[in-house]
This record gives sequence, structure tokens and C-alpha cells, in this order.
Amino acid sequence: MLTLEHLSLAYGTIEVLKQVDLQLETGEIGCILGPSGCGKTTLLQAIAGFHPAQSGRILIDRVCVNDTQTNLAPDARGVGVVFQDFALFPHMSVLKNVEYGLHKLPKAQRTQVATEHLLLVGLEDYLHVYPHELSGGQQQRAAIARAVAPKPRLLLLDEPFSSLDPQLRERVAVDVRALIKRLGITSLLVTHDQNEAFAMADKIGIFAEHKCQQWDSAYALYHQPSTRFVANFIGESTFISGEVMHQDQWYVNTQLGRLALTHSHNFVENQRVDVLVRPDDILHQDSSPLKATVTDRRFRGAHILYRLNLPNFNEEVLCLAPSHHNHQIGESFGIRLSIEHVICFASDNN
Amino acid sequence: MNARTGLATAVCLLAAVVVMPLIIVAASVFSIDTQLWTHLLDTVFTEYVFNSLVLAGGVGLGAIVIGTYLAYIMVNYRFWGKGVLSWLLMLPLAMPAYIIAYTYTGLLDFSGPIQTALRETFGWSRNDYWFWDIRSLSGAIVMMILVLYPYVYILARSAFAEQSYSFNKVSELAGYTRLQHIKHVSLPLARPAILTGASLAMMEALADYGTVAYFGISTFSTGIFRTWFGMGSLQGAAQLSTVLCVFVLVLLVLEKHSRKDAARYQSRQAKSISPVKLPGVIGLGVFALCLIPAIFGFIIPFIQLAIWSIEYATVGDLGDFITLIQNSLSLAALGAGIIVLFAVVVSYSKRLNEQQPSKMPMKTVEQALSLGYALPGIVIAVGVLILAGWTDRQINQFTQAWFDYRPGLIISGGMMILIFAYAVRFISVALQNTETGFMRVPQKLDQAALSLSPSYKRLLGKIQIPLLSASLISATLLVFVDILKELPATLVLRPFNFNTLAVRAYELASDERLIDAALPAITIVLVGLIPVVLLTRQLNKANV
Repeated sequence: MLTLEHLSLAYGTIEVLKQVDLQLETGEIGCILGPSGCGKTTLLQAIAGFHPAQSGRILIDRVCVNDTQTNLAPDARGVGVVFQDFALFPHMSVLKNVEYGLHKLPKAQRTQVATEHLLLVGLEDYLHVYPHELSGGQQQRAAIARAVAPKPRLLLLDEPFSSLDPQLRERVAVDVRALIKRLGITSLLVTHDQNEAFAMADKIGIFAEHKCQQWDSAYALYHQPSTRFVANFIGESTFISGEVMHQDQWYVNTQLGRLALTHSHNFVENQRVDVLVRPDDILHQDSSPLKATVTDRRFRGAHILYRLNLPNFNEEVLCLAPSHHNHQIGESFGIRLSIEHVICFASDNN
Repeated sequence: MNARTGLATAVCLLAAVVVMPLIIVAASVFSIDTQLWTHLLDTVFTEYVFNSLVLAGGVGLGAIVIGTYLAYIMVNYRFWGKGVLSWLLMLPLAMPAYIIAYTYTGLLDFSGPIQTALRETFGWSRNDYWFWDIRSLSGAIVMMILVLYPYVYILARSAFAEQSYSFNKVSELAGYTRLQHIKHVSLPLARPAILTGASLAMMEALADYGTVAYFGISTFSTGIFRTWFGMGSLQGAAQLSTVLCVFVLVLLVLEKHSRKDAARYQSRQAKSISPVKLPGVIGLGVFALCLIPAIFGFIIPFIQLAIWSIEYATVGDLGDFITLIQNSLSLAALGAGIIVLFAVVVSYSKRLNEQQPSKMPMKTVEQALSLGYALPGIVIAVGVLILAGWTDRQINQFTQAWFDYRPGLIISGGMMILIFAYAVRFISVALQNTETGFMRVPQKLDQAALSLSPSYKRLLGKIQIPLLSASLISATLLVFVDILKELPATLVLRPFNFNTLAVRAYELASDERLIDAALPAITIVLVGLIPVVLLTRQLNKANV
């Protein structure tokens, strides 16, 4: 549905994004996730047609809308946008706002289509109300109705939840996801907030250092990060050092034991690597001969997140233990490693 | 009664005295002189109404057109010379309407350089050609538009700049052209700000005395003057003033209403519009288009005044001029000092009474005091004079009864009456500044200071005045310049044989001694530039 091929974007000579490839299927919700300044909003602008591509192609519904030869105007791309500040016109009623995007239809039809869409977003009682009289969440739904009423093929949402109260965001995100799924419209949103991304998206692209680091499901991003940045960015993580070995099969030797690899991952024998250890990979086990010392603890209700010092090489791991295993700082307890996906990155000091 | 309530009571009493002239003018409607009014209605009243309305309407419309296009271009485009333009466009604010009016008269009337050059070039004589008569209602309208358009420009510029960057994109996505976007979104959103600016410009137009008197146009302000001096009826003047006040009040309501709308139209979290760069030739054309109001509103008249001033300085008597400067500066300084002091006391008292539950009507006091600025100087002069005459009569009756002595017009003929009139008119200028100044000092700071040393005097002296100094300086400066420029009230209320720069410039110009008038006039303009420069710096910081 939406395809980006080797897309590079720049502001003059300043490179913003290079060689971005991603694909969004019809009806999917995609998310561009990254720290501020990583070029994610520029990408959205490029897809909407407000910013020309430097190289590469943008295809919407298999139609090329932007490459070095073509650059379709925003209104010719069949794209709807929900802006970060919602950009509802304060001098128009909610209905007029939605009708604004339908000016190519005859007047009677305009009102009918706009009303239908406001009904879909649950604002049927607010047709003649002005935006400032609506709550933040209602304003957002009005903005969505305005964006989708002209029947775009693709809906873009720029930081859609940042204007809302932090407590509301996740709940609203779930509601908006349900709404978009009901409308069946392919969507791409931009955010810097992981929780929003997880709540909303089928596929998430992690953007940093001018690149798309990984384009995958939330599960894969957490359990099979393809770059060190993604591993650090998504969830909590620590690394322990290991050495790649080959004897019948590939494995990594660490002080927590031998971890099997499915294949070489382009590592060579005896190469030093850092192995990703998630807090849920370390299990609390009193009987384990391997003891670690608590250096810090954070109580999280059902669980306690321990920061543990391993006996050798002064390495640290995190351990998410059920909260009835209550240990104070300085105490030691037995741990066991249980890693399903072994993720290694070439060690920095190689 | 504690110190806080005592101060508030004193402030209320003082405010009542300041508002008194306005009440007197309003109360004059209850004692209608039927003979006078029959005469007025039969003869000049319709003309006053017609001319005043056309004048205000024309100025409002002209200011809207010029101010809006300038503001739109300055916010939405980038082009060569924009930085200079952002300064030049503000300069007409320093040019009082009566000064620009007489300067252009010197340039454009029959014996002026333009018409003389035309006659010489084409060999015409007096009746061979038609030339625009600047001494007309249309002339007055053009003159006032030239110096009053910045009111609309300033407010519209902020309004355009506040519009969300995303609005453009919404229109672009829906396939609207730029012009359609302006029509459906940009202009409707800026409309409250534009109307606020226009109503301010129209109030100034109604308040103007110098220009219409110089051009010989019958409006309310010249009519009030004539009824009083020509027909000797101060009551009639006061009643005409009331009618004028009704017009002003309508504008005031419009202005307040628009401001409320404007606040509602501000979009939240808006990224401001990023101006589009205009390429060389187009940019140059836009620059030229925007330069026109500045050229006619400031540059040409200023150069003309400068030339005349140099002419006068080489032959004229500078002794008179130095006396004028001394008079004006000392009057303005004294007035500004007293008025700002009063404003500080009012704001301070209001603030103290906000901190704790209080029955003192401080908000009402403030609103009443801010009325004076909306009213024309001539109206205030009438009110002040009636009040002063009454007070003088009471004093004389009192001293006659008790000491068998009549001191005469001790109040009506003195300097204090002038300062009092300035206070009525300009207290709101000072108050606006002291209010925002106090607002910037958090209330917590007061509580901290009072908890350490429970003295209101120390709080004001050691904490607030030092923190307020910037606001106090700007308040003093603004009132100082306003007094310096004030014409009608000064003209009417000044002590016998006491002249200021404004009065003298007006008198000399009225006597067709344009060259002699230039030096006082250009001095007023130059001093008037100081607050304009400060304002421009502030605006450029906020809007660019």
C-alpha cells in the first residue's frame, strides 16, 4: 500500500534521512518511532507531499507519487493528515471544519459526508460546536474525521497524542487504533513515545542516526533487535560480554553460561561480542550456584526490578523478579539465565 | 482600618476625582439648553455627524486595507529589505496627524512646490487644471490613514504570526489555492485583531482636533470647540461631547468584543508560520509595495520638516524655541512623574487587595481610570474646565463668607489643571505598564518578603520598585511622549501665555507660518520616535 524505496531526504545540504525502505500493507497501522530530531516528521511531510525527496521513491497504492521525475501535489496523493496541534480552524464549527476538505463535492453531499464521519468518530452531538469547546480527545477525533472524510488512501498522524494529557494518552491511543481499524484505512503515525507505538501500531520503524534502524513488529523489536540502538531504545537492557565459539554448532561463551546461536551471524570464531540480556531473561532461583549482588532496586508493584552485580568482570544485569522475592541492596541471591533469542553485537572494543 | 484598606480607600477617592470630569460631561445631558440645541440641529449638527462618521469610517477602512496587506506580507514572506521595512513601517506612529497634515499642505497646496512645478512645466495658470484639494474631508482621511495604519498593522501582524503552520497544509491537502486559503482561513482568523486595530484608529480619528481644525472641517471635536468659544456655551460643548462619547463607546465595545474573539482564535501549540522566500525581482516589487506607506507616512514629511527646520534655524530666532523646549519638557516630565506615581499606587493597592479577601472595588477603579484614554482630549478638557470652574466658585464663596476675600480663578488658570487633565487622559497608559509590571513579580515573592519583614513600605521600596523599574521607565516614557504630543487639551487648558511645542507648532501652522512651525514639529516627532523604537524592538523579538 505504502512503499518507500531507498528514500533519502535533506534540507538543502543537511541530510535528514538516507536510504529508507519500508512497506505498509493495506489496512495496517505503521509507526515511525524515534527520538526528536531523527527526521521522522520530515518523513511524514515527504509522504504527504510537503517536502520533496532527494532520491528514492514513494509509492502509494503502487502509484509513484514522488521520485526524481515526479512530485505530485499534496492534494493529488490521496493522503489525509492529522496534525500535531490538530490544526482545527477555530473560527469554524466542527461540521464546517470537516466540510472544508470536501469542497469538491456539491454542498448537500458535503454536509452528508461530513456528518457521517462525525458520527463514526462519535461526535454527532457536536456538529455545530466550535473546536475550543471540545476536550482534547474530542478535538483529536474531529481532526481525524476531517482527515478521513475525503476518503484518502493513506492517513498520516503526526505525534497525534502529544497535545493530550499524559495520563490520557495510552487509553486514547487504544481508542484511536480501534477507530482506524473500523475505518479500515491504512495509517502511518509518528511518535517518540514507545507506549503509544506499542498501543497503536502493527509495524514499527525505529529511526535514529538518519536511518531506519529496523522495521518490524513490536515483539520482534524487543526480542530480536537488529541493531544495538534498537536494543537500547526499546525496553530495558544490559549487555554482558561473550566470545563466539564454533564446535559442531555456533555458540557464545559468557560468565552466565554457554548460549547457542542458530548460525554464525557473520561472526568469526573467538570474536568478542556483547550479548543482550533483558530483565526478563534473568530468573530468580535460590538453588542456583550463580549468585549476584543487589546494587539497586526499583519496586514496581507485582515485580521488583533489581540491578545485579555479577561476581566476575564487574558486569551488571537487570532482573525482573516477582515482588515476594524481597532483597535489600547489598544482599545476594541465586539467578539463572533463560534466554530464548540470543542477540549479540560485535563488541565495541574489538 | 489597616494600612491596606486605608491605601485602597485613598486610591478610590483619588480615582473618583480623576473620573469626575467624565461624569460631569455625561451628566450634562440632563440640562439641555433647548434654544442652543434647536440652533445646532437646524444648522451644523448633521454636518458634525456626517463628517465625523465619514472621517472615522474612511480612516478605519484605509487602515484596514494598508495595515492588513502589510501584516500579511511581513509574516508570510521573506524578501530583500524586510528587516529595514519592519522598522520603517512603524515610524508613522511617531508622526502626529496635525503635523503630517500641515506638512503635506505645504507640499501640495497652490503655492507648494508640486503645483508650482506643474504650472511652470506646462505653462498653466490657476484655473487651467484640477488638483486635489488636501484641505478637505478626503485630505483629512488620507492624512490620518498615513499615520494610523500601524494600529491595524501591529495587531494583524501578531494575529497572522500566531496562525498555526499546519493551517496552510490543511488547505494544501484539500487542494485550495493560496488566495482561497487567505479568504477562508487567514483573514477570518485575523479579523478580530484587524477590527481591534481599526477601532483604535477610528477612536484616534474621532479624537483628532488639530487636523480637522487646520483643514477647516466641521466635526464633533471642532464643533465642541466652536460651541464653547464661539457660542460661549460650556454646557452645549459638554452635551456635544456626550454625543461624541457615544460614538467612541460603540467603537470601544467593538474593540473589547474583538479582543475577546481574538483570544478565542489563538491556536494552541502552534508552530509559527515559516515565511516563504520571494526571489529577487518579485521580492523587490513586494518591498517597493510595502515601502509606500512608510514613504508617505514618514519619510517625505520628515524630510520636508527637516528642510524647513534648517531654513528656519539659519534665519529664525532660536530663543523662542528654547523656551518652548523648556516649557514642554518640564511640563511633560512633571506630568509623567505624577501620573506614573499615581499609577504605581493604584496597581500596588490593587495587588495588595487581590491577595486577601477584600471589599474594595479595585477592579472597578482600574476600569474607570482606563476610560479616559478612549475619550478625545477635547472632551476631557471640557469636563475638567467645568469641574475647575465649579471648584473655583466654591472656594471663592467660602473665602468670601469667612474671610471676605476672593482669590479668583486659582485652579482654572493654573498649571495643575493641565496636569490633572493629562492624568485623566493618560493614567491608563501608565496603569497598563505598572499592571503588567506587577504581574511579572510573582505574588509568592510578596509573601516571602512580608514573612521576613512585615512592612508594606519596605515591600514596595526594597522588592517591588527595583523589580518594576523596566515597566516604570516605559510607563514614564510613554506618558511623557503622549503629553508632549497632546494638542487639544493643552490648547484649551494652558495658562495664559504658556506655550508648548505642540501648541506652538499648531498655532504657527494655522497662521500659515509653516517654516516657523517646523522646528517644534520635528522635535515632537523626534521625541516620539523613542517609544516607537522600543515598541518595534519588542514586536520584532516577538514576531520574527
